[in-house]
Amino acid sequence: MKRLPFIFLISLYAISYTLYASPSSAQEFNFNRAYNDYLYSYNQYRAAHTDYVAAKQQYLTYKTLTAKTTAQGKTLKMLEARDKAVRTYLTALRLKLGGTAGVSTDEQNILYLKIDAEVSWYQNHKSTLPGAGSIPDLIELSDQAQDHYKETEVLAYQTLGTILAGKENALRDEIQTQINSLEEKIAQIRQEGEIDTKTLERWLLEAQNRLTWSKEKQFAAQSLLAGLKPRERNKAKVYNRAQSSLAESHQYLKEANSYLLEIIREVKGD
Amino acid sequence: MIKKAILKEQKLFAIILGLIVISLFLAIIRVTFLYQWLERKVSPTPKPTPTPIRKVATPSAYATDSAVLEIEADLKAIENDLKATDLRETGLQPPVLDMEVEFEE
Repeated sequence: MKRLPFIFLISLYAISYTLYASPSSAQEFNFNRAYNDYLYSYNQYRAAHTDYVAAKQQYLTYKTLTAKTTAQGKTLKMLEARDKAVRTYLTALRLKLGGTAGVSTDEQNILYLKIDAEVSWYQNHKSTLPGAGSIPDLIELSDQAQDHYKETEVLAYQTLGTILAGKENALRDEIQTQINSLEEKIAQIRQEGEIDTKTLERWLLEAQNRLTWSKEKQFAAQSLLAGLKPRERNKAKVYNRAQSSLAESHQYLKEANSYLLEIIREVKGD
Repeated sequence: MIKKAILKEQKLFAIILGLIVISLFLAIIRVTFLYQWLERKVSPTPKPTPTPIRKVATPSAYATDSAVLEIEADLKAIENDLKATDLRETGLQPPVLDMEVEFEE
């Protein structure tokens, strides 16, 4: 009997633990979390960069040992923050890729390998930074990252292109399923002889054509990004061109879908 | 004689002046009333009109077909997805970083 209050307290603790420590409350690492991490890291980099610019300016003006030590410290912090910003960015991009329907497993796996290799590179690079004994050493390490970032940018744009193409693939597959269903229905209507289906069949063909053109525009965009080289000065410009081609591809999908809705209206006699 | 003639002229002048004033007064009143009348004519009083009857198309035998309705619902969902698709992903473009670290003036 004496133990009753103790047992009651234990039970109460167990119940509250089950309620509050349920898996739903556990923060799973998803795209949103990774993206917020990236934004946070990027803001930290920007703050570190401002400090680095100020410290550098002070060192170049006064040339004192104190100013030099401060400048070295601030440069190190900025380089570390820069590596972290790239690493968190790549992680967010990886999770976005994983959550995009319409990307084939093969494509996904190839890009995962490349992204993981990049993440490792920046992680290793960051770990070498504290070993730099002087400002020239830090500059040398920064130059390494500068060269490598050109390749990172290519991978980032190609991954982004794959994500966008994946979205288009998923939508195109959905529309294709509806075309197939409508084809079957129209064949049934033709057999029953209730409606003249010639026009409907022609419209269906028009919708199918739009899907083919949409695919062609998407391939054009993907080949543009596949040809992107690290030495390309304006990578964003190439990406924007690919994006325009994908926008045209999307427009064809919209048209195909609206044609199918028109067929439905005709079948229903609206 | 001369006095009488002057008096007659003055009377005539007063009568003419009176007539002018009266006709001016009448003209003003007429114009005012004309405006009011015109305004009444321009804004006609609303009259009840019969509600136009919408021509209802005869629905086909497939208007309530479950397969057709299902395809229609799916297509409308795809239409919404097409509208909502973000084809820019501006937030995921590579970050802008200062890669040029140098300590030269």
